[in-house]
Amino acid sequence: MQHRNRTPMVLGLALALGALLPQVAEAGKGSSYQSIRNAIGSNNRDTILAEIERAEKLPCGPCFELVMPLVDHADPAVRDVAAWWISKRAIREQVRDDMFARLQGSDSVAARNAAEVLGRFMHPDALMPLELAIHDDGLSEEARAAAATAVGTIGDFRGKDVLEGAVTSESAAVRAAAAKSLREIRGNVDAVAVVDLLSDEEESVVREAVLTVGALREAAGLGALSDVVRDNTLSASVRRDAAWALGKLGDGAAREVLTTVSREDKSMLVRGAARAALQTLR
Amino acid sequence: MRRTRTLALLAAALSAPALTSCGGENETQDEGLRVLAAGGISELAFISRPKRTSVGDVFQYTSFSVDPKSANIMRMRTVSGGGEAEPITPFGTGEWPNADIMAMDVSFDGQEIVFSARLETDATYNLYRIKIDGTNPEEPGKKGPELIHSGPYDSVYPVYLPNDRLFFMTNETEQEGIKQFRDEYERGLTAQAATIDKRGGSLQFGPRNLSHRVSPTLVSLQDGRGQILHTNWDHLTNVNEGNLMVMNPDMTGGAEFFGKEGSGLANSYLKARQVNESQFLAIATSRDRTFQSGAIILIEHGKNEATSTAEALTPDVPLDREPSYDKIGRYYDAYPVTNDAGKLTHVLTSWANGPVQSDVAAGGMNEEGVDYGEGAGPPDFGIYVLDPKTNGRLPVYNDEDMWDVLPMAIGRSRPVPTAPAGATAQTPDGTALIGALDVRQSSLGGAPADGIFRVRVIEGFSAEEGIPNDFGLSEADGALLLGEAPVVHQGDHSFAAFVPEGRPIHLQTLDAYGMSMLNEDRWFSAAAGEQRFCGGCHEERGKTVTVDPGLSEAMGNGPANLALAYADRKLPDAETADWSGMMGKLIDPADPTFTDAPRVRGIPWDLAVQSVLDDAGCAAGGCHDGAQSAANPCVSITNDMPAGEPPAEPITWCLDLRGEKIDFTYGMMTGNYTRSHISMLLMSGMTGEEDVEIENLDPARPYQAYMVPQSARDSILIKYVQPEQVFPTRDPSKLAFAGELKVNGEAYAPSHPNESTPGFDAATHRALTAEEKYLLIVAADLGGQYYSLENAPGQSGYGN
Repeated sequence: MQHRNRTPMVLGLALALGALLPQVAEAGKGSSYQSIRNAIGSNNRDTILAEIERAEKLPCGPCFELVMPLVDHADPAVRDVAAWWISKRAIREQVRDDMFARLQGSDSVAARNAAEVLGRFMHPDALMPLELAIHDDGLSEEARAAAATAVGTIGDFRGKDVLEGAVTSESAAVRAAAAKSLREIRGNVDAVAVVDLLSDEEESVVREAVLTVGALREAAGLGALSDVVRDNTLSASVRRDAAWALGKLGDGAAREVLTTVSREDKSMLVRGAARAALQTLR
Repeated sequence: MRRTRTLALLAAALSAPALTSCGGENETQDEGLRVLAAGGISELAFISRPKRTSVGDVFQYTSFSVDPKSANIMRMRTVSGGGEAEPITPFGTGEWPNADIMAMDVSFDGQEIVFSARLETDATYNLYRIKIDGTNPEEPGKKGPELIHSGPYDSVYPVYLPNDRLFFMTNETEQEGIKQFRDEYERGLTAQAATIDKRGGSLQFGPRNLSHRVSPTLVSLQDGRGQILHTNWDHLTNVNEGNLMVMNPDMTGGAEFFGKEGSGLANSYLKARQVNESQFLAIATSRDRTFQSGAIILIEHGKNEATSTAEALTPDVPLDREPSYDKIGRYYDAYPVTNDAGKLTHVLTSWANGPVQSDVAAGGMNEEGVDYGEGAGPPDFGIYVLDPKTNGRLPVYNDEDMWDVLPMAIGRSRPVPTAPAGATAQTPDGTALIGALDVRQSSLGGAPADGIFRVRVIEGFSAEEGIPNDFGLSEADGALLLGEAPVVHQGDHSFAAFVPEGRPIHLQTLDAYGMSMLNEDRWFSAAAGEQRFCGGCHEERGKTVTVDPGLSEAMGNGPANLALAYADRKLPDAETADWSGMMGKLIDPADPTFTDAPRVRGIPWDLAVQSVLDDAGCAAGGCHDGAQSAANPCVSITNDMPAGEPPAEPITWCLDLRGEKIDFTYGMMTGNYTRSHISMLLMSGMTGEEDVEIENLDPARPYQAYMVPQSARDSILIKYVQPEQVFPTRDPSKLAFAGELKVNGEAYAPSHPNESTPGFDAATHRALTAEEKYLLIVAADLGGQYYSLENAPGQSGYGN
């Protein structure tokens, strides 16, 4: 019986011919305690990321002590790769509980980092603690917004309710993060909850609401989007996004307003977006 | 303003003394411009973007910086002694905010540029068009670019297509609520193929790869046939390479071009450019740490990858991720300069001197203990003309604050290739047709030539589906079995199947026992209604430019319908599913015994594999229960610790097929899986790891690779259970490993356990059924994953 898998053959040839053949790179292989320690010691983001990625499945108990402190690193990308590495190990559950405790504490930076870790863990068991953190007035806006972002990163459909409850927050940062995260929820196809945010007093919130209404093609946003695209008190980038969103909705009812904007808006950016949107109307 | 860095000039002087001995900076610069003019390039454009240290990975497409100033596209004349470089785009001036520009392309008439830029007020890269005189194509005479595509997604690497369309890569998905693939290793949202009308309408999405696609260019192959040549991240289990592939302008007909099958020189190839009908330039380099730069190679394209060859035009440049050398540096891109006969004479390129390596750039100690001190800072790419014969470089332009990259000729027209479409077929809604005329035909040496009974079709997915970053101890991505299409084994050896459109799949040919014989370790996908019919399985494509599936017996019999709606990919009620019945139906769909069994999709380890192990009593009665015994080989695993660190405590692991999840003792070592999963995948998972000592407690009973991802045939577990023939007919007397010897020199028994197995108790233990064996085979061949969609954590309520 003839049989073979391709990879072993390629590896065999590579060994036989040495440098004449390409590197055969294996993802997540070849790291060690020493190399992780050196990489962390470099404090070079790319080096740390590459080495932690190589240690993806390294069976190394002592390595946990090296990686765990990185969840509080100054660089978000380093925090993220550390959480990713930890999430692949059963000790994740202990770290998760520690992060839950952080969310309940008063240290907002620690809570922000905890929210990011729980987001990267991508497990819906964090939804309830994150929901509580979103509404915790004792935490900074940054930490609370990070909690809303984490709900989107987890992406579980049950997070939709959590986020719809967050879009009414008194914090603009939380409203914006919740509006953004709603388009990250798997299986979510409506943005009714953010339509009211299209007239929010904070431009950052309006922008995220516009993008979510467009991304989810929320028909109920048509009228408000038509107002946003003509509102010259808003920045050109928000008006541009509103034009894009109207194009995504594809409703021919937006033709008149988009035509007007494509001719009269003071910004070339907005006029271009309106012209592009007109191409997509039914 | 024209600026040329002294160091770069010095490097050029040292490497090309004959040129620089004649004069100073301006003279060598003018010489470079004269070479370009002689090659028919009267004007060029390039991107000038801020230097950065955060873009070592060749698949990184969202690195952003506007520090110390905005990026812009620059225009430079080469004739009449050249001229100053002037910005075409207006970013950072007037009403236009600062921006970063990551890629561009020039229209067929040479008068317009499409580019991808991210404004500093934005979070994503969008697509713009601009005339080369800096005016808006849709607002004649007005300075500034036309925005043609935006939104909360990145739209990158635009390329002009025939018929006023544009090709680009995007992380947007076609349907709301469906998340884009997120590479489980690099964690980035994947960039996928799309096309759009150049005015922003008629957006179309292509079939998706499971990982990124980057750096496309339009080339013209035989008879002026336009093809999109791009870099495809082939990332499947242990494969992790960036290879060149082509697709039709309508995104159908994806095919290998260069780099696979051991035909290449490096791990990754990118930024390919066509020289003439058969030759192509590209950058060859490591996947990471080289700032997306490397050596320039010249590819001579043969009938397929196996017959294509490549020559390194810059042989001193490292092809791996090690630091380069002074005066050698690395090249970011390569644009051909040709003579009247279409032969390559020079290369218009971006080059940076020095290590051009991210460890060195950022400084500190790398993972191997080399101390780079304060760091060299980011490399400084400038524009040069390279003589490939001497490797001498003539400087053209360099702004020391910026990367001056991706130079291209402008102002001259080029032929418009045709826009061939992929073959189509009548297919059920949402499906494509795949198949082969003869699965025995293959360009892979040693590929199976007979005894192929089925083709297994496996769909891939990744962490975007809610499986937290990991599918088990295996390196394999998420997998679900779409089905197994019959091969006409007593006829022409063809197969045909309808498969879901646009979803990444890979194939395995199966033997009489249902085990993979040839595992195609590359993802591919097809558009709705597309017909992807090959001559064979990885056959030499030069032999079969056109295939007529209508001639195949498989088509005559009717393609196997492996359609599976997106929403139906997860088996409902997996906790109570009859896994044996499902396998029975898979083996023989006509067997009335299994009529009511549902269709197999994923193989959730704790529900499916564990049920087999438990039902057969594998861990019961003092057998494979993790106790140190004759039935359970044990290993001691110890991490080598560096000097000065306390020695690591050895961890002992013995074969254990129980379904309980591991306790905290092992929690820092491995994932939260059942003991059986760890036991099966432990050894294959540790292959390739450094500084991990693995010692068998009893050398006479070594711990083995009980399950090898994507190779049931090489899995010790499968050898023990002895698969029996299931194709073309069931025959329990024919065993897969009859006569094969175990590590102790004894033959594998016809069944395991049996009455002579130590500790055997007929009341507790039994051999597996054919269906149970088949389930284990499928579990191994799919990749040995722990998680499938059926047992994704947290899906049945918080906290599980």
